Amino acid sequence: MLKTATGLALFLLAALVTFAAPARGVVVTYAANLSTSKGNPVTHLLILETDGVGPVEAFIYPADVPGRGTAVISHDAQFQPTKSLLIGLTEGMDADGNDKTQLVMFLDPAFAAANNEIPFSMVFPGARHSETITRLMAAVAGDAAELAWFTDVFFSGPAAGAAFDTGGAFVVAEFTSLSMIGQNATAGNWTITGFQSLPRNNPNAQSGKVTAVITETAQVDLGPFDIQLSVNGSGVFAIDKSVLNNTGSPWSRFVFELGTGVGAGFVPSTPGDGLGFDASLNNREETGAFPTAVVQEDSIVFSGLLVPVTPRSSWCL
Amino acid sequence: MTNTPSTHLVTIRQIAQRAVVAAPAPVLQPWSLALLAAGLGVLAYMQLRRTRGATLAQADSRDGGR
Repeated sequence: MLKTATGLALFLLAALVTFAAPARGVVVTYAANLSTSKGNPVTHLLILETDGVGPVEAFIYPADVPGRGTAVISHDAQFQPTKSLLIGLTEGMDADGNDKTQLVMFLDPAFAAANNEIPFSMVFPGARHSETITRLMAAVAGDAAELAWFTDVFFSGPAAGAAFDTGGAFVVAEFTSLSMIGQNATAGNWTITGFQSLPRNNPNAQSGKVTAVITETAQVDLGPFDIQLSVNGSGVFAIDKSVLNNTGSPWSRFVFELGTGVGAGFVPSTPGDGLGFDASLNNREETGAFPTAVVQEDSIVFSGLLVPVTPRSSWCL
Repeated sequence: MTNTPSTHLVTIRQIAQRAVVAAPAPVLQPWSLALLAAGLGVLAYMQLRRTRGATLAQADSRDGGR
């Protein structure tokens, strides 16, 4: 259970952790917290990726991305990319407050910082804002020539240096002039494979609270893996979490810690800062693999034994 | 991220811990191996003495028969 900074609102955390057989193929995921200028969704999303060896590949994301809050963009890839660049549209407003179709891009953080508040055509020499919008809409609509412009020209030409390390940090920016509107929501070698926000009246909501349903795959290492959630207003919310243990090893403990920031910027929550779990709630792991839960204000430690031959386990906090 | 006034960013850090599976105890500890070796040595020595005694007795018997 988490408390808001005001100490008035309480947040219920419910975790469901699941262990299952490893999935096949390469799933590439981008988790972001963002807030577009008018809160409108990001549409016409084009994902450009390269492994540094083969040509740049494009993937047209089939859904809109919510304009506010935590979003997870996931797709299957034929290779493991090392560099990514995402570009989409939103009906927003420019720096002068005028309604305008805006470009939204996921960028390398240093690149974004170096070009903050600079107009699109200067950030990407040789590309113009309005023309890029036209090209993007055509590419997403199936125009192969325009799609090729993004993969063969834009990525390595005007946008050289803008791509970010796949799996690493990124900034979400909105143009006409570069305005940072978001950033990566996760840090670590695990992968978020699904994210959904359930209203409190949904039958699957935990304890009748707004519930974030998150699925993850734990791979490569044991963590830490950070996920930053955008929480609207005050009140209680829950998390229903599933984790696929793809580490190849059984686990004896699973720890949740609260804080702010991700990765190297993670700042642990401290007692009395208004953010914490609620030990009075039914924080639990549901499959029995981790029967013991030690709940403190800013951490919950589950202990037990999860063996690979018993792949499923679930916690509710 | 530009938060609206009522938006909070909360981070949940997760860390798993690998289960440490205890290695099975060896059938013989080092000290018991040493004791076993010493015992076998004593048995071999006694067997050798018994064999040499029997051989000498047979020799004495042959000598006494002349």
